[in-house]
Amino acid sequence: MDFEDQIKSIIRAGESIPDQDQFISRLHQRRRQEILNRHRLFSGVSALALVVMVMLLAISQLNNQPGYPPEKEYYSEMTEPDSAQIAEFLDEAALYLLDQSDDIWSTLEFLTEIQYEPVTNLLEDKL
Amino acid sequence: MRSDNELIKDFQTGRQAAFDELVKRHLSTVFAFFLRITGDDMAAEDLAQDVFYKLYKHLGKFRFDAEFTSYLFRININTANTYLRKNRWRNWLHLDEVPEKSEESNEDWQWSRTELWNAVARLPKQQRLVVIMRIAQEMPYKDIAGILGVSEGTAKVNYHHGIKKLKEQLGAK
Repeated sequence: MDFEDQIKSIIRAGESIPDQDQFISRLHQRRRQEILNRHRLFSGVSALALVVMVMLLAISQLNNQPGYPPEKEYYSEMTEPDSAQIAEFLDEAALYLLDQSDDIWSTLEFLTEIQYEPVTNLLEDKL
Repeated sequence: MRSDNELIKDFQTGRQAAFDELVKRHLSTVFAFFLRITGDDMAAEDLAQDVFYKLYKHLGKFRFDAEFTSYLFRININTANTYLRKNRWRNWLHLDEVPEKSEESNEDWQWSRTELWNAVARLPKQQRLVVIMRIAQEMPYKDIAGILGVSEGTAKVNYHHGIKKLKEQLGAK
């Protein structure tokens, strides 16, 4: 037996054939299943695209519209006060204390103790 | 009896039953072709399902330039080619545990159907296609040449080279 006959002999198959109606029924079932799968895939991808779009939109909105106003609206820049400003502030504070105190002498004593210059100068002039 | 082309035209106008008629008409040929390659009813039926599923998807665009049987056989060949290449890797990875030693074994030759088709899968593409058509379908060279778009002489040369390589690979006498 030559090589080609050997091949033909080994691949010789029986005459069996699947049931035609069952075969066609399975074919259409598979076709419907594939269509369903494709629809599912399409819906899934669409839903995912929508979620990503909403996410990107939300992120871009957050970037464009800050939730809080800039801090400059709340805080003014700190500058070191000069000696004239400090003296003015101390004068106002001293006047306020003197106005509000029930006992003007103890207030003067307190101002002397903290060596508030206008008061100490007054005392020195008197002495 | 209505011709294949008439059934296709009916199908293209939306008559599903025409497709079923085509399947019934050609199922035995397609199934037998794959049964010769796989030697397994289930696998042959799966492959036949693949063929008719592809046919269903593409038949709407069939232009009647060629014979329907050639068109169907081209799908058969492509499906078989894909199957053989996939199977070659599967066998190489030893996924098929049980070696095929069955009633096919004969004292004249020591190779099985699986070994034969694995060897076919290793042939260059053109030789592989010609060999598949010759040995699994016993097609005349003229038809093979028509399907592959080559001359009859080229088909013959490819076949003889393919068979020579198969002999070497299988260690045949």
